[in-house]
Amino acid sequence: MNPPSLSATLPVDISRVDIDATLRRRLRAEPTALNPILMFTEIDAEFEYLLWDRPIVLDASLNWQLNPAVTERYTLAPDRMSAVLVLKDGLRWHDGAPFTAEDVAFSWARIMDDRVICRKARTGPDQLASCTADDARTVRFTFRRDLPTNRWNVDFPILPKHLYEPVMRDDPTLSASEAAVALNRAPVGNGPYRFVEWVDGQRIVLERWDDYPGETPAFRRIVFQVTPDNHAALLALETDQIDETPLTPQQFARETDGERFAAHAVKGKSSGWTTYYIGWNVREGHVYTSEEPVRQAMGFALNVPLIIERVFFGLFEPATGLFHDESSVGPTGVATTPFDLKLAAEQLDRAGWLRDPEDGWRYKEVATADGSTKRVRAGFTLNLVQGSQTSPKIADIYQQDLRKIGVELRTQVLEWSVFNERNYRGDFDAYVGAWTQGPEPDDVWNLLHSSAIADGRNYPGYANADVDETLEAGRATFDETMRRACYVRIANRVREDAPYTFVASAPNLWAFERGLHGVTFSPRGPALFFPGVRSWWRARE
Amino acid sequence: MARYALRRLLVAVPTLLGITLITFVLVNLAPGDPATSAAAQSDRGLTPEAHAKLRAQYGLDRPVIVRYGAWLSRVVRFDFGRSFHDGRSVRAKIAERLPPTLGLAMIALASAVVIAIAVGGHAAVHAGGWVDRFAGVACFALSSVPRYVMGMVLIVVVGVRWGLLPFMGISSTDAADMSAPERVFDLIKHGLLIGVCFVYPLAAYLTRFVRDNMAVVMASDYVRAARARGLSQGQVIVAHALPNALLPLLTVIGMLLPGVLGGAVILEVMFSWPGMGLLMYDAAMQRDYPVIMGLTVLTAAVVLLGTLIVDLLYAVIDPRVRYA
Repeated sequence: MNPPSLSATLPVDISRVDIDATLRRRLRAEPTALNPILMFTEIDAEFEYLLWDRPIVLDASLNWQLNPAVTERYTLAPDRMSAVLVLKDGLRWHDGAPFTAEDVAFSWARIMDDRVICRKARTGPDQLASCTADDARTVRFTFRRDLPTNRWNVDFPILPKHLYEPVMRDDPTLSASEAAVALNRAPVGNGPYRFVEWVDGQRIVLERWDDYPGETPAFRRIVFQVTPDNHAALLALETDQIDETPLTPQQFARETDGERFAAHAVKGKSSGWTTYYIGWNVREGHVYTSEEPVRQAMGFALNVPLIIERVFFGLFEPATGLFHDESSVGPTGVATTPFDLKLAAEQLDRAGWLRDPEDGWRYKEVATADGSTKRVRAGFTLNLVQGSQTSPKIADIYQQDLRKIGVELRTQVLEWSVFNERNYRGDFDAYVGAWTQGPEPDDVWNLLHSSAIADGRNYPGYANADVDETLEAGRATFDETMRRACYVRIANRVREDAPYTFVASAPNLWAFERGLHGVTFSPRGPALFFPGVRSWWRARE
Repeated sequence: MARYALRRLLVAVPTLLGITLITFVLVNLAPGDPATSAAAQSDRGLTPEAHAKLRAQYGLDRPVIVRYGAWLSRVVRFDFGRSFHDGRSVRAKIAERLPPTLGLAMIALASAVVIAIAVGGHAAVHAGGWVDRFAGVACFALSSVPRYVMGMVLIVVVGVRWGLLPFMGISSTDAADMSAPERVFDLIKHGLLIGVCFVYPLAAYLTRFVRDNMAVVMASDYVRAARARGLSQGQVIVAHALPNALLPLLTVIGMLLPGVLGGAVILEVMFSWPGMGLLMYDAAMQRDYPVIMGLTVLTAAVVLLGTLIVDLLYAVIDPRVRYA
């Protein structure tokens, strides 16, 4: 239960609010670039929500809504193959230039330009056939197909055309030239805060934009303080050097109950849609993990209750599968996999992985390409990300249980970019990953559809014709009941085929300076939604 | 003397080249490259064409040795290229991060030398006294405490429990609104804790070093002769013992410099100190080859320059060296 003072809404009597206050936020690392179409990390997103205002925003429940500060109306054509978005009159960029439909059309063209490395922004807009400006305020979108997801597909970041067009002529990548870099480090946006300074390695400062057409946020300044270390960040909060920081499960459970913390800060917790999972390589070359009964057995052998207790300090929830119960798909009714080593052992026996009484490991005779057979030991290598506090502990618990049933688990700790690359190339047996579900269930296409093996995040190489068809049906239908049925079917299929074994759902764990108010949570945490940080305030002393 | 300096300089050049070649090859042979990393971080991956373009943009489509040659030809013109991470000039990035680290390292080294001479010298002159015994124990104890442990202790005790000093960053968030003297004071406050972490292992090591050398010198014949000539204790120490005892200190300082700069990485991450160590950490995490190479060259150059200066000073002080 979060303290009521934390979520206290902005008082009607504005004289009670310190409108000159500075909010000092923690920044784990510096952003890549302050260019919204190049941004791709959560750190980048923190700035996007404050410096730029898109026509469409997500509320605290991650529902689609028009941005009241920017958009007058959005109208879908009767044939649903096009839509018109009308911007409000008199919109401006922070430098005073008009914000127009031309900016929207220009931005879409840049996002779709292969020369621009858009790691994230292209997902969605790539489903549009065109995006054009009818006049200064009217944007016309035409769709490749008649899809319910099109209302999400028209939501993408907007660049100021008058600044980026001249840069683009010399540097179509928008990231390689001196001019592009300068713009990407001192951006001009249209959001409630404008950019002030970026002191390399130290902080990024934003200031309230007085001409913002929407609701004025309470804090005059927001200073993002670069603080890579989690421990240092918590200590900095307790010594009044920053005003908020996310917490690790250990910090939330064990390191924030002292008097010093209570004197300076409060904790906030909410349900999150990030799920930890183990991804299995189902490709044929991976003898052990490519077998479906084996993957199911591996699910039975994963002691989720113990992992939640020991690794996540009882703060996480057992994962309910592909979709979070609170998402638009809702509870799917898919049975969670029980921890049962006996069941796991029986399943492996049935699959032909039999225990050798001499050494205790399981083996199987497997056919080779030349027609002969070879004896293969049951086991796999689990890839872990370097620096993760939790993955090695999960692996440790799993390893001990698997040893009891004769399966060898080897761990391999990889640096983040190498870990990602191995997944991307399908060069792994299994890995511990985390997936944050978005507001649209169609997002799972990228994890499950066979086409996403080549150009998505279907790292396990999972291909199931029924899942492909059902994903297609879910993407195409406008009937919400039918859509939900599609995704429930997919969730069941995925549980049976087990390309992923879901472990636990992570909550949002945060600490705030005691005097902060107006903080609410979305499944993405306290900041990455509308209004997010814009509603935070501090009382006048 | 000029010939000696030239000879030392000529030796430094192939050393620097060797360091850069080994680092370049190692960095490029490490698994993971920035183009594939970008593809792996993309929601939809990258098309083969886009991937190829990105590799070409980063120059990764050429053999390592060709890339090294191209990189070297730019570096001799002081062009370190652009960061793969944010597109900024590597030279500008390093220029921003150099003063915090180098400043800290130089101040730490100077402080350690002063402490070592004062404490080590006193301990040697009064061998067996309480200062000697206390310094001996303290130096051994401090030498065995890793810098990151000391850093955490200082943060928790001095920064948090006592609330005496800030421990994050190089300046306060409101530094821009401060007057010049206030800003200097603010900088000193921020640098104190991390500075202590830089200083104490150096001071501990050098104190023992000075003490041992000084003790040997104090027992030598010429010191005994000086005393026999009726010189005061102070004159014996300052004019005869100390200069000879400190001669080897110069060599040691040159050898310590790589460790000081290398050790900055973990401390700078811990204290969010925006120096070369933090930049190196970020660059390594981001597979930012140009920044890694730029920092390597610079660090190697600083170390070689330091060693060269020490060698030259040594030659100035001790003529036997330059005629050897």
